[in-house]
Amino acid sequence: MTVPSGVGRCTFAGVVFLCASSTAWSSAYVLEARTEAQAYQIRAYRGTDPDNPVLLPRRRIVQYLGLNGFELITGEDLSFESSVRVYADFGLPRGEAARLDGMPAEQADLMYANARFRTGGLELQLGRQTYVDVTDYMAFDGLRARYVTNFYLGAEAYGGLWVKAANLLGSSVYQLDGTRESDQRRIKNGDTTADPTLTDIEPVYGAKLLLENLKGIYAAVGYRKSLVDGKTDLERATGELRYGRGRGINLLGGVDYDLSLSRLAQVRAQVRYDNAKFAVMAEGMRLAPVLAADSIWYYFATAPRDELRLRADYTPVGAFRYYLQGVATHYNENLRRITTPTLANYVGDLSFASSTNAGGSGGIAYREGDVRLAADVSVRRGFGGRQYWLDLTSGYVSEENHYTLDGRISIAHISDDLNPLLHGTFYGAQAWASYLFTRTARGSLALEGNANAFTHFDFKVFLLFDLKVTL
Amino acid sequence: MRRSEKITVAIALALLVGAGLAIAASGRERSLAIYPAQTIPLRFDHGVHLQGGADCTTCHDAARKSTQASDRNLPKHPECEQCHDIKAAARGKKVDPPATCEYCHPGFDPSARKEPAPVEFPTPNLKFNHKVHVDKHIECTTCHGKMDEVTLATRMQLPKMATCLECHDGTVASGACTTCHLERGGGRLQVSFSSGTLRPMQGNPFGLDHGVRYDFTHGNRASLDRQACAQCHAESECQSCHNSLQKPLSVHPNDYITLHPVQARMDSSRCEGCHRLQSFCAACHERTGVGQNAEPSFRSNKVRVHPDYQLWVNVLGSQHHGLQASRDIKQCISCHREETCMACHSDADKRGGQVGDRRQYSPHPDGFAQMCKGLASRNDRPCLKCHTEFTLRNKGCR
Repeated sequence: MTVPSGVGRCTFAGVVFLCASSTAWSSAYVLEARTEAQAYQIRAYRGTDPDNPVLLPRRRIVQYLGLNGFELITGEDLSFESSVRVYADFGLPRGEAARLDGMPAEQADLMYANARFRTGGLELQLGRQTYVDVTDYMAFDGLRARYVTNFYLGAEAYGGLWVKAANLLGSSVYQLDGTRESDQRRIKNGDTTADPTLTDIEPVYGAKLLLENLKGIYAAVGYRKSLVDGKTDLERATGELRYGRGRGINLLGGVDYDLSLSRLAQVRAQVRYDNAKFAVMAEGMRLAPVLAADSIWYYFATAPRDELRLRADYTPVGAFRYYLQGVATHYNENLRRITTPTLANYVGDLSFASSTNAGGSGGIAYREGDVRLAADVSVRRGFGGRQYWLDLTSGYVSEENHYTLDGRISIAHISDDLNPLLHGTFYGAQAWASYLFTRTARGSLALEGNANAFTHFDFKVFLLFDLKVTL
Repeated sequence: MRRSEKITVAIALALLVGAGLAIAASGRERSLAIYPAQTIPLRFDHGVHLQGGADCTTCHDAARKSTQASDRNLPKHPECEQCHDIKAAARGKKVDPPATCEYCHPGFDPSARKEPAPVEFPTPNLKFNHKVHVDKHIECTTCHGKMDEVTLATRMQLPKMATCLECHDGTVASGACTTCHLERGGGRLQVSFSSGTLRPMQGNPFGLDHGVRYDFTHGNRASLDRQACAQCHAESECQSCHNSLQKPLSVHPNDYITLHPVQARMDSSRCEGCHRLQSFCAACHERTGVGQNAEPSFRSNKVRVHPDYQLWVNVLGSQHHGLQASRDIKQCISCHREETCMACHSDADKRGGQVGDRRQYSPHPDGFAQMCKGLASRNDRPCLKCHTEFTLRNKGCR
């Protein structure tokens, strides 16, 4: 056989490589596609013009496409996962969308696309990926490396570009809050493109020192910084602690310190006791908004919110479970006292709105074989009004997952202190049925109907089609 | 609610709880996803056999060499025939111990059917090597419990994860999930089986109980223990709620677009797990005319949500917006743009207004003047939205 030269030789080598790989490699590739169609329109509950009551006409088509590959090299934990989303909203007139910052009539997002390699204590992830820790939930395009030694110690480092809506194939879900994609002055001038500082790339990098499973103790201290046009947008130090050795006491704790404002931004602590039959948990949080340093609100006299949650789960042997939960939140103030007169003098005056919310919920859930049922009751009172919810949910999955049925009925009694029109009892029902046409294709129909004194009655229809093919 | 209605509701609730407890007392306690349901149409008494002098290996000798979870390791007729004379019994002879077909296969009549009802022992969805454990001199009872009082052994005699973790703690034996659990692509655990879905529940040894309403309570755990979540969950599963346009039914109750204001005001941090205020909430609020900065053609539907303008803006008191903004700036951010605040709080120079404007109330906290220089050196872009170079310098922030 004559082997061609130059480009031909390379092509030949490639073909030989691919042919060989198709027989010798144990890679698996999965192609996933989801098509969603949504049709509904939301009517205003405020004093709208009766001749023009529709506020949000939604006729949206959404297409997801994912390609995943696993064990790309035989015997090695090397994988690739990706998902891209394209959507178009035909209910929102194109001209109308152009006058709205952050509400495009059509968009394409690369939700994630990364390769991951793991061996021993080393883990590498390269590409667009989400990252969650005590500071926030974010996404970046870059590299994350994590290595844990056999001696309980390890390190993690990551770096890349923060994913922002204004970037190509970006999404706003994970970007720092506090700034818009464009500003009002630009929109007034008919320019809906983003402000240069908001489209500018935002490098982000961070690192953590890890302690892994030393007698059930896991701990980490970390640092993160992001920059826009060379100026700091976020700089945080974090501490995380976790303890757990099976049943019994489990502890979680996290601290997020804002290095720009030199203040404790977030604290989370959770104590949980687990028994075979029950679990009790206490959770305390102090949360300050995670805002971009590019936002003026970041420098305002804002204060954190405190939250306390207590929960008990009773989990006897069998299909039933019960839970009871209490929650209380308190909004703090950080008002200037050096100015006279000062707003701080009115903090205790509750004539307008309480700074404390309290409530609780309880529920019973049943899960046996293919059937699950649940009933939940929630009550919340405090700043903004009162709300009482009754939620009934059910689900059925047939054998081999051929079809599924889900239902949810909600009854809410709401009283909004800031909007007298939003007061009354709201009834609604949702149903979601799906059917597996073939091993690779599933179709779903979701319906929602609501009845209340403001919108009287509205109806929503959602159609979904899922395709999952293993190549 | 009338008294009779209250009594009816109370009785209904009591019956529901009572029924729950009754069913619970007789329910399962092994995951069907790990140990699928078995069919064992046999009569057997482990206690009697142990008292009669048998030990585990008399019937389950194969277990000592078993290396896979799919190995049956259960006795067949040859093992039984060590004591039960099945052939003699088949010829009609009376034998002791009894050995007729019906004695062990209740209801089986060999004159009417060729074979007794089959037993079904589906393979557990686990990796397991009996030999390794036997070689380490681990007693059968360590995992299977004492059998003296057990009649027919079922799934209930198979070990729970808490038992495994007594040794598999990362020190004595590997604590990696994939030591025992089956894997799917990407090194994650396989969680979906034809017999059920594997989910940590009911006293999970790691405190990972995915109990009722876990959709709403997993946040803290996920933020502090991402690696544990990633053992089972792919990025797509997180995105299916956090960044989806069609959220699962469990996320939002009915008519949530109408009802969300009260809930968002009480608990905005919960919304932010999926929605950013300036890029999601504010855009929709502008479209519906709620947001102040909406394009003029959208404002026809606008209805005031704040108290009287004088009380909200000019009169220092409990209804002043500054108090509410200090408590929860996120509420402001979900409707307003920075320009709303800048209209009054900017330097007069910046607005082109008069110096000494009575609205020029600083929104910064006490002590800000001491730190403004450091903040401006890190990033002066936000400073220059409200201040000029001149006023910044005058305030000592340059």
